[in-house]
Amino acid sequence: MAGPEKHRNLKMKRLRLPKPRSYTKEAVELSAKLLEINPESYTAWNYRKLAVEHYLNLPDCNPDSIKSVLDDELRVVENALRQNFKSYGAWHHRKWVLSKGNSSIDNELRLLDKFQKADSRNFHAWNYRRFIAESMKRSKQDELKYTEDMIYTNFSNYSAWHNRSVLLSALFEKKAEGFLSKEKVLPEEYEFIHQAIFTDPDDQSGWFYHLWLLDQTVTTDSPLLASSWPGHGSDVLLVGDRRYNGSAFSPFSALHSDSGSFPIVLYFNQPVGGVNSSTVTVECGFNKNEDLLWKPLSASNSQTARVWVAHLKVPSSDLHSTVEVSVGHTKGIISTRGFEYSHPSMLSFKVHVQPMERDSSQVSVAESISLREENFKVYGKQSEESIIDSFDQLIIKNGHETTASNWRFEALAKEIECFRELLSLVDCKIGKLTLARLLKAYDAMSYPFANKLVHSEEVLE
Amino acid sequence: MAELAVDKHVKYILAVEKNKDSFESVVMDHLRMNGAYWGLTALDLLGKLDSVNVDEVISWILKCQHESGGFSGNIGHDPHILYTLSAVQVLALFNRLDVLDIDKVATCILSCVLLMKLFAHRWLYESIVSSCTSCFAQVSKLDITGLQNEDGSFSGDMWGEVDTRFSYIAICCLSILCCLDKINVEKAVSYILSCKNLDGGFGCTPGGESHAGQIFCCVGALALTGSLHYVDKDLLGWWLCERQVKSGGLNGRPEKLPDVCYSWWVLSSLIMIDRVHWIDKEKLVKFILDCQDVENGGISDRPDDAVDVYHTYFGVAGLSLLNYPGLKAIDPAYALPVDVVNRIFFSG
Repeated sequence: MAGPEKHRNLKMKRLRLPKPRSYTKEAVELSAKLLEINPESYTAWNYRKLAVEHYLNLPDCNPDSIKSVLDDELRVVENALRQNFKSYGAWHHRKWVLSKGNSSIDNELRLLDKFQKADSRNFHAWNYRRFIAESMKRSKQDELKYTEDMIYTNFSNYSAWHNRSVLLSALFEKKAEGFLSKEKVLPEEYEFIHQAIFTDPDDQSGWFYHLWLLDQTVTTDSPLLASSWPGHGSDVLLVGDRRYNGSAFSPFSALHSDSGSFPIVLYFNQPVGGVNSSTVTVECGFNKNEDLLWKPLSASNSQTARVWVAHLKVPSSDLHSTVEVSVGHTKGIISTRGFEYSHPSMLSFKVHVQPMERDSSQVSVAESISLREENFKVYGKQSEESIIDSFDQLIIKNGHETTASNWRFEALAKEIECFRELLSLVDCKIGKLTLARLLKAYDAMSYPFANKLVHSEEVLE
Repeated sequence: MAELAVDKHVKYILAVEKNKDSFESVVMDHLRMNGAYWGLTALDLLGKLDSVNVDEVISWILKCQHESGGFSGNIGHDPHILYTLSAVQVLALFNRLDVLDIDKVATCILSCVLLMKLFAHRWLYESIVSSCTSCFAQVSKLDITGLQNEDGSFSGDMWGEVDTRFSYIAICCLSILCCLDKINVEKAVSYILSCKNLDGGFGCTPGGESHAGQIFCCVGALALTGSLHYVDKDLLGWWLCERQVKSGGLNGRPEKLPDVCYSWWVLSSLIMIDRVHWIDKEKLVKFILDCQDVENGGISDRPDDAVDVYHTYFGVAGLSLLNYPGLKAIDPAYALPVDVVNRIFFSG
């Protein structure tokens, strides 16, 4: 690892920056030599940045001299990278130089090509590539083609598959330039990944990508109503009294709002905008729908959120009434990824108001909302990341059409066949795990509440 | 099965620290502060921290502090957040975080002013006041607040490199000093989450490939800010446990070679998300022990390679996480011995 020659060289070039700082040609050249041997010496990169800024601020600088200075820096970076193509300092210096202008996308892609061919898993190069593609506006389609080329050179390229998943994710968004529909693209991706998996079933690169494809197949794009408070079919008891004494009546006493009102909370499976009294209508005897103001619950001041709240004013007299909430019968609710809410739902609950006498001798009188355990229902609480869980929770609530559509079923069925075939040829641990996941997903999609056991024997095997 | 050659490793670490001219030391010149953290924490885990001269270490550390408040990798180098964390961690090991103590410095300023007024040596007075005042400014933020960007991410230094490693560093450092309120924690967390990938792991910037080192940083930062519920533990746990290869060692990414340092990055992550039972611990212990140089001391990245202080620390820390007998317990999020962490939060 360390020849005596190299050791001696390094000692000689140990950092000796001029004090006070000056930027003579000799000093700057020396820093270049040091960085060529030891690109990790970050202070030398900082020194060069200061030197560049010093030159750029000189009164006699012109476009040509600027170009020459910046070209020099690019050359130093390239030399340093030859010594250590994983040097954070070198890659960042190049980014910094580019922020001053002066290179073309072709130059940078050429450089990247060299390094990525030398080591296709070099994540510094991939990060830099993403940076260049973004800042020099290279099309995602071109980048997709690049990942395809890399993968055909060598299927075992997790970095390329990863980049592919990042690019496709962005292109699956409705508002993306060059939007791609999952229905068209996913079947092609399955074909592609099969080539990798069948070539070498023990190589992990393909399996993680396949899992991502499954997740994309199974999760719906359009937003869904996941749960609400009050829950559908529940009874809400409001014990009305103007005095608020703060006693914790229930764990949810935080739901106390202004006196005489209580909240309706809608919880979606992804952030949405466009929830208002046109897209969500509340019918009840004691409130006018148009008066309701729906607000997003969001930590930042965003107009989109997973949770939306409106408050109903409650009369102070005795009351038993049914409230009906219709969600999405009019268009307008849209997810942040651009997909419309397309499953109109309805929920209803009963409100019982019991006003109290002012001087009641009852203990812990509070303007509180009484929650009985059975009132609090959580429908498919969908965590977007949990792939295994989401297989169980595709269907959200009573009376809703299934959200799965044909192409998804076909895709899964095809995969199941494919992996049964693979496992008959090869004994592969991840293959079995994947097949189990496929079977679970298929069951979950076909029969919302029953018959999950159809394939479970095969799954357990 | 081999055993941990404790005495040899202690001797090795002390020798590296003393010999400033060895190849290893010269190459490490710019990151000596990290080296100090690796060597001294390993010594503490091995129960031999008292073998070093505390005052010498501390005086050298303070020489590495700059006006901005940050620390450099060594004397003569520029400050960078990487070294600020190591400096704070080493001071914590020695229970000397007081050298960064605001109150003490304030008192110091007051008494200096008094003394100088008495002696009426104006130049001395002015220079002491100015160094105390700058010390005071340094102390209050260690430059970290200023390094947070609009989107919640952190830069490593004034030159602007962004990486989730720096998010972890900022959060860990300020947490040790009990002043997390000096940064916007919510934005910091949301930036980290924007680096979450489709395989459940985390990269260095949004879109960056999952890597065990980055995963440790992100999961650690989320742990320290009470945000672990954002992690898909099953998904990430699976990706992490697939890092274990046939030899029992752990790699950092799919299809890469195992390396002892991942015994830390992967293992501590698994522990933080409560999935450590998904790997074969015995096999991993055997792998780490096989990476020792039992003749000369030290641990290398994989069996029969050259040793260095970095892998020696991670090997010992990994063994500690695996409850290897005779080692102090280490905290998976702070990467400091548990008794040091307890001392910070539970005493005085």
